[in-house]
Amino acid sequence: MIDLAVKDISHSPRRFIFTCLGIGMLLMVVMAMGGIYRGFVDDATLIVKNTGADIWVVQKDTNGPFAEESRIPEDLKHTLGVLPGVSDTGALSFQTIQINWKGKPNRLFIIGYDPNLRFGGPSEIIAGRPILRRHYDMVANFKSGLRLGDKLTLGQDTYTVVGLTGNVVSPSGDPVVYMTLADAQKVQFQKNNEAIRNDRERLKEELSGLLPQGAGEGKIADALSNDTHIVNAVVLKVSKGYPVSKIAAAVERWKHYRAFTVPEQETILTMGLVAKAKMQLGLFRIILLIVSMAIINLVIYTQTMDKMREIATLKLIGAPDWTIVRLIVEQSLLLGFFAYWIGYAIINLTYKYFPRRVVLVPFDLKALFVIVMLICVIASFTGVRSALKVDPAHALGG
Amino acid sequence: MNNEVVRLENLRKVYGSGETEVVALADANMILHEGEVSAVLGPSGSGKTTMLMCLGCIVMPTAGKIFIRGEEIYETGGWKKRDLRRLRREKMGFIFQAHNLVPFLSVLENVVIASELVGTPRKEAETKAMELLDYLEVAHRAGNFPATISGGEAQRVAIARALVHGPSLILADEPTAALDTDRGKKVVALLKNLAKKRGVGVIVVTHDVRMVEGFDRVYHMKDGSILDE
Repeated sequence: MIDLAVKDISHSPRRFIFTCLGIGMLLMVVMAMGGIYRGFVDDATLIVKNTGADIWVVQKDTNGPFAEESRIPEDLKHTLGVLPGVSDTGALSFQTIQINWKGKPNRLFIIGYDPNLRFGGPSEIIAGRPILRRHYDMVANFKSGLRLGDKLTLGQDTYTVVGLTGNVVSPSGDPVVYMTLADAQKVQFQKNNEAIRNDRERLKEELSGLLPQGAGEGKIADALSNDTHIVNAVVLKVSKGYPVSKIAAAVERWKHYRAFTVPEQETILTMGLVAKAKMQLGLFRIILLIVSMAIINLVIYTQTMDKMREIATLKLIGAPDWTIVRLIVEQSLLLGFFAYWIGYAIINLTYKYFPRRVVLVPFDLKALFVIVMLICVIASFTGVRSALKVDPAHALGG
Repeated sequence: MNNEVVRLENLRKVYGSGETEVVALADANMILHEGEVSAVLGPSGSGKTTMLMCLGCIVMPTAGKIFIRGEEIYETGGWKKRDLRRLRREKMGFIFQAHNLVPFLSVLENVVIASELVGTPRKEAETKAMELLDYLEVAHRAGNFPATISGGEAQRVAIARALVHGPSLILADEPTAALDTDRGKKVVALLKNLAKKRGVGVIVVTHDVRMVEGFDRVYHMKDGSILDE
């Protein structure tokens, strides 16, 4: 049987092509939004995965260090390191900064780690070298805008980019730079000289009322006002065979800190930080799909109305309903099919240039394809209904 | 052997009811034989098209009987839409005033589709269609689209479409109205030839008196009634 849908389209393809392009662009945005959401989830959990820790220990009653502020002493790593089942510990600091770089604001996420430990630092070096010195070295995400050899002044010191790592970003999507923990602590916690002097004097004043004369309140004040041995999280590696959740529970019970397993930390990040974005993007996707459906519906309906005389003629010469239904539904499906692949081609060519990470997941794309095809079938209902209602007598007369 | 293609007995069609009742067809009687071309002549509103629609199973008559090849249509009341459509598909061919060719199909495809609808395989349908187009002297236009051929050629293609699947009855609605006298007469002559050659009965509904002499029989209609033959 002659394929009427294909014949109609190929006879006057211009409207079909332009409609495909339009719907394709809409579907591209739908795919991009799905990809952006997946990117959000990926970004949110990237550092947690990259760090390679089994347990995250943070300040009690907080959801730190990413969702909430968390400050804990650095030496906690030694305390926790002796717990049964803990094979390795590390202290980490995290801080978001915004610098003015080459005339433009540039947000960076600083991770301070101990280069002597096996985890917490960059998982790969794609250019340059890793951090080898205790101070003033920096490894930056290659998408951060920083290049090898760039020098960056943060606080009172200047740091040099000695290496570049892959596209590691913070849960908020800011590119990561790695520093030694000592440097990161200085950047985060060290006050400027005026503030240190003020704090020292204030503390001395307060301590002089509490301590006996000559108890060394000057030295105590000095130490307290200049202390940077604070971290945002201590991470633990658990030996094989030890239950992670039991060690986390032991830390919470006996050490009075909050301890998260990796799945718990990921849940906090995805449910807390990404949940609203998910809803927002999901809503936009639904709206765009409804708009696509309305456009397909309108185009198919208009095309059907333009063919009413031909449809009436076909009915008059005895064409069964199925022939008419197939003509309309097939055109709708072809419209959706080509539009989908146009959208797919565009997103695949452009997703790397999006400012935020776009992760295209095959399952999402396949599901969208099925949804688009369903939408096309639904969108053709109005056209089919009108075509089936047309009286064959419509073909008679001049 | 009975060579009757169509028989109408007291065919009546009434639209509306009560004060709005309109008698479109009043007790029409007619017989059409194989190879015969009959014209139904009458002014607008005389009931010609209603009769054509009743014969074409598009409109159900209010009363009376229609026999096609001896089979009574609507006899048992169990005739469904799809049965009527099958009857049209298999036993009837239609020719329209404006030829009604499908604009996105080529001339050949326009003819082939009617044949394919009755289940003829593509190759065979194409051969039959080409034979007819050749007979009607439009084979050279087989690859053209309807918009690129003349009105006369389009009408011959429409005749080919009406005949290709071997129907018993051809119903033509004002087939010469859009043609000049010369071309119109040629179309009528062609219908006569084909009717005789293929044993088909043809009913032409028209108000074009220029063509009267070309038909085997002419029925005059007025206000829904067949006045004379």
